[in-house]
Amino acid sequence: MKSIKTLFTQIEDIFPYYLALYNDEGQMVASTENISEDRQQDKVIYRFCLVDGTTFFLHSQEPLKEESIKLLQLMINQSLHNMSSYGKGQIVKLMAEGNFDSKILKRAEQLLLRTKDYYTLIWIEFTGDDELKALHQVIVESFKGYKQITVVPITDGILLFIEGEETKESLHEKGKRIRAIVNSELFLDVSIGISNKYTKLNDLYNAVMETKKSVEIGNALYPGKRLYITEDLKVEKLLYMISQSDRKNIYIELFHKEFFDSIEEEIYKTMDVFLEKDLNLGDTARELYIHRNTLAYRLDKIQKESGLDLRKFEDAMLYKISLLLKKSLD
Amino acid sequence: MAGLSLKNIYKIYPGDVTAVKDFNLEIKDKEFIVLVGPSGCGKSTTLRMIAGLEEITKGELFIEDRIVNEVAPKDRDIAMVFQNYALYPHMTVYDNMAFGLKLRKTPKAEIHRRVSEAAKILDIEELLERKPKALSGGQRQRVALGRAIVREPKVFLMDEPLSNLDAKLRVLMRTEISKLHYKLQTTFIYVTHDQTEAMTMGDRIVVMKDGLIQQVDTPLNLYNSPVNVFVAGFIGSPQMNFITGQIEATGDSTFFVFDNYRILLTPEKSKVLKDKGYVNKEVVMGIRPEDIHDEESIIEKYTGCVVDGNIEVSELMGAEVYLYLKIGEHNITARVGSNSKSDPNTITKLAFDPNKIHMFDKKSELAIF
Repeated sequence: MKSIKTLFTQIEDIFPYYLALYNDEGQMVASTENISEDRQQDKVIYRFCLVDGTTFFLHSQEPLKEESIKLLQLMINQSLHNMSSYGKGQIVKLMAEGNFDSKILKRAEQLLLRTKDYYTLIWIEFTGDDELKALHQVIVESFKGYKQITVVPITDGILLFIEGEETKESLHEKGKRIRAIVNSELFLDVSIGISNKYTKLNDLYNAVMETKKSVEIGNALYPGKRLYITEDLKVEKLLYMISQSDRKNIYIELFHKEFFDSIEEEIYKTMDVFLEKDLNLGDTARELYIHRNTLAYRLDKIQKESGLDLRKFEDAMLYKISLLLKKSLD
Repeated sequence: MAGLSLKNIYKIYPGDVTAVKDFNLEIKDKEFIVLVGPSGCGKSTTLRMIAGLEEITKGELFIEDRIVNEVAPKDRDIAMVFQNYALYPHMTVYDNMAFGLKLRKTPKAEIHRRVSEAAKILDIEELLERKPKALSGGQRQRVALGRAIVREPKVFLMDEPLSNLDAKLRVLMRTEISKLHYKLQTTFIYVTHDQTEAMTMGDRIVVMKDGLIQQVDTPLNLYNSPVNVFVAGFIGSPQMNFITGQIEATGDSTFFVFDNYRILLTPEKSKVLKDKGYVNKEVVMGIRPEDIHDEESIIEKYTGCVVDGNIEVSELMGAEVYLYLKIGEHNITARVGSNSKSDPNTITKLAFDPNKIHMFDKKSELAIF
C-alpha cells in the first residue's frame, strides 16, 4: 500500500482537486493532499476493478475526463498489483479467469514456459463448496514434486496446468489416477476434461473454456464415462455447433428414425463396440464374447433394418453421426 | 455385521442407455463376492452404485438392513480400492495411509492406532517410513489396501485392483487379498474381467453380460453347471468348445450329429433331450478341453464318442499339452497329458467323455444340461 500512497502524493500537482481512493470496505487507502477538513463533498465516484478482481472506488471533487480515468486506473493497477510477488498458481488462475494485461503475460512468461513449448490442461469439474478444499489438497498431494504441474483451484473445480509435451496416453493415465484417488479418498466423483496442446499463453482462457465444453458435451453424450479428451470429441463438438432444432431436423430427415428409436440393447452394443474397435470383426467378436459368424449375422440384420452396412466406412460414419444426434436430442 | 441386499437395481443413463438391469443379489456378511464379465457388462457400474458414486436409477440398496440409496458415499462405511491406486509420491507409507483420516479430522492417536494395526495386518510395518518410489509393485498395492483398511469399513469394494500388475505378481497378490479377507472377516465385493481371478478368489461369483446377471453361483457350480453358452464359454481356461449339430434318435440310442460324426449320448442325457423335444432339432454341444482325450484306454472305453482330429498346433505347458485341432469344420482345443504322443500336422483319434458333454438350446443358448 506504500506505493499507492506515494502515487497519490505524486499526482497531487496534476489534479488540482481532491482525489481519494477507498477499498470495497469503505476504508480510505490513499488521497491527494488537496484536502481540507471542511472540504466540499465529493461530486463523483468512479468504480475500479483491478485485474485480480478486487474493487476500489475513486472519489473525486470534480468530474474527470475519460483519458484521466483510464490513466488513473492503469496507474492504480500497477501500484496495487505487484506482479513480481505472484507465483505460478496465481498467474495461472488470473489467466484462466480471463485476465490478460501485459504485466500478467510478462510475469507468466517469466514463470512458465518458453514460447515454443507446449502446455496442456486437465480440468477437474466439481460442484460442492464444502469438499472443494479437500479435493484441492488431495490433488496437490498427488502431484507434489511434479515441477511441470501447477494445481489451481478456480470456480467449480481444479485446473492442472501441465508444461511440456505429454502424450495423450500419459494425460489419460493422469486423469484416471485423479478419478481413482478422488473416489477412494474422498468418496466423490468428478468429471475430468483433458485439453488439446497449446503453445501460446494468451490462449489459456480459451483452452480452459474449450476443455470445460468438452466435459459438458462428454457428460451429455457419454454419461458415466467422466473422463473426456478434447481431441477425441471433434465430431461431437461439430454437432454441438448446430442448433438443437437444426439437429432434430437433420436427424429426422436424413436417418432411419424408426430403426434408431427402437434398437435392441444387444444390437446397440454390437454397433458401439464395432465402431470402437475400428470396424475390426475379430476384435469386436472377442470383446463381445460372440463368434465371428454371430457378429456377421448381427451386422447383416442391422443393414437390412437400417440400410447401413457398418462394414463400410461411409455407413459407419453416418451411423456414428446419427447416434450422436439422437443422444444430443435426448 | 454387513450383509448387503440389492433389489431390482437399475442404472439407466440419459438417452435410455441401460448399463445395469434388474440386478438382484443378497450378499451375506463376510462373504467374498466377485462380479465378473467382459468389459462394458455393468460390473463396475454396479460397484459404483454400491459405493454411492453412481446414482441408482431404480431399485433399493440395503447395507445391514439400512436403505442407503440416499446416503452419501462417505457415510456408507465402505472403502474402495482401484486399479489406479495412485499413492501420494512425496509422502511416506505411514502418511499415505493416514492422509484420508487427517482430511476427516480424525484425532492423531486414533490415526496412529489404525495405521499401525493395518500395517501389521499387511505385514508392512518396516516400510512405514519409506516413500512409494522405494517400494515394489506388490508393496505399493499393499499400501493401497492399507489406505482402505484404516477406514475400518463394513464393506470393501475392489475394482480390478490387480489389473496393472504383471502376471506373477497378480498370482501372488490374489492369495494376499484372499488372506486379507480371512483376517479382516469383512464383506468383500470384488470386480474383475479375469475369470481365473474370479474362480480362485470368490465364495460366490456373479457372472454379468450386457447389464444383466447371467448366473450367481459357487466357482465349482459355475464350472460344472453353466446356465447358458455365455457362462460356459466365459468360465474356464482354455475356453469350452462349442459345436453346432443335430440330435438324432436311432432305436434306443440318441446321437449328436455334426460334420459326418455321430456322438453317442448317455442314456440319462438322451432321456432329457427326448423329454424336452430336441430330437431332430439343432443344438449346441459344449465340451471342455480336459474332457477330450487321446489316450488309448479312454478311446476304447468311449468308442461311440470317437472323432478324428487334425492337429494344427501342439503347445507343451509343462504338466499338460494343449492341442489345437480341426475336427470336421470345427476348431477345437483339447487338454491332454504331457506324455501325449500327438504331433502337429498329424491326424489323431480323440474321444469325448460323454458324461461331461453339455448341451445348449441353439436359439435361447440356455443349458439343456
